[in-house]
Amino acid sequence: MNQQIHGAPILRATDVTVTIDSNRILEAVTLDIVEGELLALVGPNGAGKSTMLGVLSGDLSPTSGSVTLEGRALSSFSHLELARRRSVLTQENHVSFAFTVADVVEMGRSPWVKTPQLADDDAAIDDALRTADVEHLVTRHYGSLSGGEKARVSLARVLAQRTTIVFLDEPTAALDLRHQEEVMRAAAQLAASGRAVVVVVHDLSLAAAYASRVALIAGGQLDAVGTPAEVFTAERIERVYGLAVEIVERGGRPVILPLRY
Amino acid sequence: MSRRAKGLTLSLVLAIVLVAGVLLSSIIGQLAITPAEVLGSVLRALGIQNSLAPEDPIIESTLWVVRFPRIVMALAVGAALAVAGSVMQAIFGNPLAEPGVVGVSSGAALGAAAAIVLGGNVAVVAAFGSWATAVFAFVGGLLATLLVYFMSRANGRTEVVTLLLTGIAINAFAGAGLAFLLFVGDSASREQIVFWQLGSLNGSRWQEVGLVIGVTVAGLIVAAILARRYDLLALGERNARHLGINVEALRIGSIVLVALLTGVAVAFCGIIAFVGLVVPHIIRMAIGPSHRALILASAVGGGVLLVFADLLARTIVIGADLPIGMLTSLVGGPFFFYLLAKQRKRSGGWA
Repeated sequence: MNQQIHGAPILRATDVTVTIDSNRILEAVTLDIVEGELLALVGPNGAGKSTMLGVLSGDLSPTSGSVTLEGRALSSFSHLELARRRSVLTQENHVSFAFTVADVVEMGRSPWVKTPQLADDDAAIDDALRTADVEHLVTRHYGSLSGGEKARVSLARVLAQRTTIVFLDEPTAALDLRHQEEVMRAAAQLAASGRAVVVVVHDLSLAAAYASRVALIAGGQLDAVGTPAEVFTAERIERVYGLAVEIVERGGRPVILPLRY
Repeated sequence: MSRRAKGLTLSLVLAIVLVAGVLLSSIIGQLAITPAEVLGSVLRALGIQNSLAPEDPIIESTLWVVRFPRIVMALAVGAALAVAGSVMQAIFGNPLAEPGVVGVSSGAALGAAAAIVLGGNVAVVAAFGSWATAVFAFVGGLLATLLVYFMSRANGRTEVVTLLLTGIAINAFAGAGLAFLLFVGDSASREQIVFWQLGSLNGSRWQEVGLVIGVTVAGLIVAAILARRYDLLALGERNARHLGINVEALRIGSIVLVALLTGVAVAFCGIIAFVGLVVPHIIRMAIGPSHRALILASAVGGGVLLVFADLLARTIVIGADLPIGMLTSLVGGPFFFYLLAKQRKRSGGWA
């Protein structure tokens, strides 16, 4: 994981500003997404992380600035073209009607209907089920699952889509300790296999342990971007989060510990 | 049972009930006709000469002028309403959305009634000639659907309370509009408007049946093609978009589809409520929520339901032809209560 693959950026956001109802949510953010890299988007609540993810995934058009995917304006892609290039795990996932887990994960394959990739359906679904550790749930109804199980099934659906770019918005929020680690490890493995993975996380130590690069967003601006060790300094975290922390190093990665008196 | 086995079982059950319903409706009535005569008459119409066919011209015309068009109309209207219900539920992500409940049917009825009363007096209406009622029913239904949709959707989710309240408001407004038209209309129009309010398959003619079938079959094909997209819509609008669905286009197209199916049903048979609520719900319980199977089975199920409801409507009271809309509401109303109660038990109401 330490040997990063620095390819050409597949997705570039340049000078992105988003204004909603005269509130400036993001201001002049420039960020490149690179294949083979796990990028962690971190920052305090309300800093603009989800908005940034929305801009990068094409859900939101920036008020000014540009976003290009494979060198082409993101807005010029059709819904289906986008669905074959990027997948998105949203924070909340609600499923109407009594669809089973198998149904929901299979829906992740739908962008590939009528393409040669359709042949990979079974393998993609099996892989996704295994990675998200939900194989034992396939016959259950989605609505009957616990919050953490729902989150993992939704992750499996996103993985089954098998796209080059994967956006995960707080994939670990509802998960227990083991599953948090497993999901982040799976994200890192996706990156290692050449995908571009962007994860929004709140747990800084988790981000530091698995990310190849960290982008810290604060007050709508990109405060810092770089390796975990570069970004996570005690001064910066105290300034941005308003909380004193101690940084210790484990296995070459910073671990962020709040100073508790 | 596997999904395939469930599907096969359901198809078989529906096919048997369908044939039984059609046959019963053909033989039962003021003039009793034997199954053999029905079979013979149908075979003869297909060009196969046989000894079973009835010689009596009265039997022949009872079948071909009165009963068959009515049966086919019941099948087509039932299918149209059930498909409209499934499509509506898919785009609202809610099993309570139904053309009758949320006011699309009464919007269509108001349109149709307006066409009748204004009739030859208003150039816009007169321009459509004999299609005026159908066109106005469609327009009324479309306006009601659009209103419901834009009132009750916010941030990509349906607000169920708003959805049902909008339905109440539209039903109240359309009810008042119908009452006004009833008030100003001449006695001939009044009779027709009362017919619309209650719903009836009485006096179906082949020409009308043809139009209803045409629209229903076209709508069914479109709905079946869109079915996979409706499945994805169950994940929520954002996720559907991430999976490549043009949600805006799908919504608008589906609203027009619902208005067309409901409008054509209402234009010729009046308000027949709850078909779109009850049928998809039962089908979902039998074979699951996957939309392609749901829509196709609902079409057949809706047709079967109306064939039996109509048989009941014209035989339950001897010598009288009860309004079928009244019957479906008598059954559908309590069913709606049941759905509400079930939802309440599961997750504490719809709020």
